[in-house]
Amino acid sequence: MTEQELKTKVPQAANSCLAALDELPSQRDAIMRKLRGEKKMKRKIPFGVLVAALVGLALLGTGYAAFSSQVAEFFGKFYGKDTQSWLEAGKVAQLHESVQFEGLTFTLEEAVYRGNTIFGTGTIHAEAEDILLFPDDYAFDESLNVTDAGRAALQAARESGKTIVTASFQPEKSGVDGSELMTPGVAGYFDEQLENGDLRFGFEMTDALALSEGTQYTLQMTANLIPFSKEGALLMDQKKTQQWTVSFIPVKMPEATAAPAETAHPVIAQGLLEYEVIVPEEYRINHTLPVYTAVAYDFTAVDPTLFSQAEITEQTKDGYWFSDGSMLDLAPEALFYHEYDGMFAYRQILENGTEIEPYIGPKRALSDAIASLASWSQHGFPGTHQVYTLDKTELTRITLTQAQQTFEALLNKLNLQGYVCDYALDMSVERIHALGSLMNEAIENGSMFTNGPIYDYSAVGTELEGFYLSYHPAGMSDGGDDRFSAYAYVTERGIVSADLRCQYARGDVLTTPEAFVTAEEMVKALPGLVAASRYPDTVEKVLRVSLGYAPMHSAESETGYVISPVWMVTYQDSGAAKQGYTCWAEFDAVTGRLVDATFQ
Amino acid sequence: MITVQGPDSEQREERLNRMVLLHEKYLLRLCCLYLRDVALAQDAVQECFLKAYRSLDRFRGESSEKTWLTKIAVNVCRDLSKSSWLRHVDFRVSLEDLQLSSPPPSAEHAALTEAIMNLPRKYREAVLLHYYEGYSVKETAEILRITSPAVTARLTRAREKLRIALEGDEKR
Repeated sequence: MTEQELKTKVPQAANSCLAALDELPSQRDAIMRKLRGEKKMKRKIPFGVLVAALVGLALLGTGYAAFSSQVAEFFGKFYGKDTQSWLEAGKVAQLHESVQFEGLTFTLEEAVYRGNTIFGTGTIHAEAEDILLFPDDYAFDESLNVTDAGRAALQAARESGKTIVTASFQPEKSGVDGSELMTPGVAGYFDEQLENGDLRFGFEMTDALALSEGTQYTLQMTANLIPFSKEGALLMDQKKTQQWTVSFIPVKMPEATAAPAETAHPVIAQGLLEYEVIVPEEYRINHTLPVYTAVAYDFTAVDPTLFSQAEITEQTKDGYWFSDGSMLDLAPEALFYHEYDGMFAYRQILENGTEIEPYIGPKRALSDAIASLASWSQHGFPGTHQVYTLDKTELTRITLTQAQQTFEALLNKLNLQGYVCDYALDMSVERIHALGSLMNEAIENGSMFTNGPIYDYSAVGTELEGFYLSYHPAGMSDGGDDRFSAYAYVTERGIVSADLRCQYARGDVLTTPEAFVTAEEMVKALPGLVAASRYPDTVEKVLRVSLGYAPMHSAESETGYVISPVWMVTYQDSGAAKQGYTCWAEFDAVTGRLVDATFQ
Repeated sequence: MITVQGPDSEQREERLNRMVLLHEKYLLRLCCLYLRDVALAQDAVQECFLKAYRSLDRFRGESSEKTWLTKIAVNVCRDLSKSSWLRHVDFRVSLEDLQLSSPPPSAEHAALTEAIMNLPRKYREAVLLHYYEGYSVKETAEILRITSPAVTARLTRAREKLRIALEGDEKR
């Protein structure tokens, strides 16, 4: 098919096949409810925390032969037999622990730990006879997943006059060996109705930090109860919640039930081992690096005068407005500082040419607009997609070194250690004029689908020249998330625009190991780990190994976490080699333990 | 939650509400074609709007609202595709499995749509944005954060893969 044929046929074909999607009810109410639910969660004050500490479990004697894991069976049904076998080789805790709340009994039956992940199953049972339980997707306005039988049951329940509620028992935070509880990176939850009317639930939560290899795990669970209206809608404003914390020590499952298959330890072909090794200068000299205590970062306590000396005109729960129009926007793990100059009516033009109601929002000051030009230049400029690189290290009123010193001084004051510059761009008057002109042109010719704002970049003088700087902790840029990053635009006035992100900062030096495991040892171990993982594959090629820092759990640290040296191995498995993307695995450089990886 | 400027929450919710009304159907089709699963696509659309709400204040109108939401949707779909919860569940479903269209589409339309849905992710993304949504190569590159030549290369390879898939289909 030709280009033109595809342009015609693809929309025709896809639209005819997906026409029925338009008949599905709007999710608007569900989205708004979720939104309001999130807000509530953030504001709520727990009204009662029941702590149930369970230590150990008895999987002894005759129990061995008959043991079978509910969790493995439950997730085996969902993911298949391979996952079931993989889970049976994990560590299990049989809990059977219940909490009663609002006439319902929430029971956590069993949890299995393997590969930075906790899998759990349990039930929710209505004690009172006048309460009927249903999964939350039985709500009439979200009834996409309800079978005819389910709909009939709900109808019958409505006619019975009983109170119909939905309930869930969801894990929210986790910790290992007494560490601070954290929200995990990946979490999933689903439920089904059993024949006796109970709800059976399953959950899975993964996090390299909060669920790293350890002995005792703690989960903070939240029991939720939401009544249905007579019309079948969920009454979110009547939602009730109760928090519950449980600790347990999972142990290896009896071998009799599930002997994990012996996995051969594959190796990578020698010809595919021509990888680059990147280490910091300090390591080249000392052959070691210190391990730091990790301190949970909190930008909300930052001194606003570090960013602007202007008078604070308004302090909100999220930050500060200054009399010079700048705004410091704060969250525990992120900080944004930008300069604004009045308001602007942003007009949007839809694909069909219809212009929608303007949105009135703050207009960035010219300094911030220039910072934005530089940011676009780092990732590909609109229209041309060109990535611009450093031309000059000296501008009329500021040098690159001065800009870096200014920014690094701020990072030091904020105790953001180990961030290194990985991109810098000189925003000279000439570059500002050229890029500004390109941006205005893109806006004016409609390719940005908006009216601006348009700035007169041609009038910009040397006072707004500066350097745009991008910093990340060494070795952490391959991991693919931006949780640790620092961007700034620095002029002779100082930092006029900044975006900073950090979850954990370095505290005191905890220890300095005598030696590290080598990059070669990690590369050698990788194929076996990939092959034995939940998602087994083969390692086709190792691209590079870099030494950096990452937060990880450690019982040695008072906070439960350390910022410790890691080897980041960047490689391609068979799928990545075919499709041209990369995978990574992060190893503790001190012990060689796998910390996190794309295959986990 | 990060808020940069000061519109109160009611204004923000009103704006989100308007965005949902305007763009929900479009995003649902896109996510469905991307993820090959209706329920998953609905989750993706919800997540997309929630993410949009959270970063509403940082949307400064430098691209259209639709392009901005499309970028978010593509990232949500990518995240969903690679999350441990979902990445090894085979969603290469047929249109019949989706049980969507009534009356059923023509055989030619069904074959082409199914061939697109079964393309490898990076080709599918490019095809959906360029041929289905009508974004230019440059806009597609911007949304996918890759270069224009890379988009062109992916579209070329995707066309070849579609040709092979459709010829194979004819032979069957």
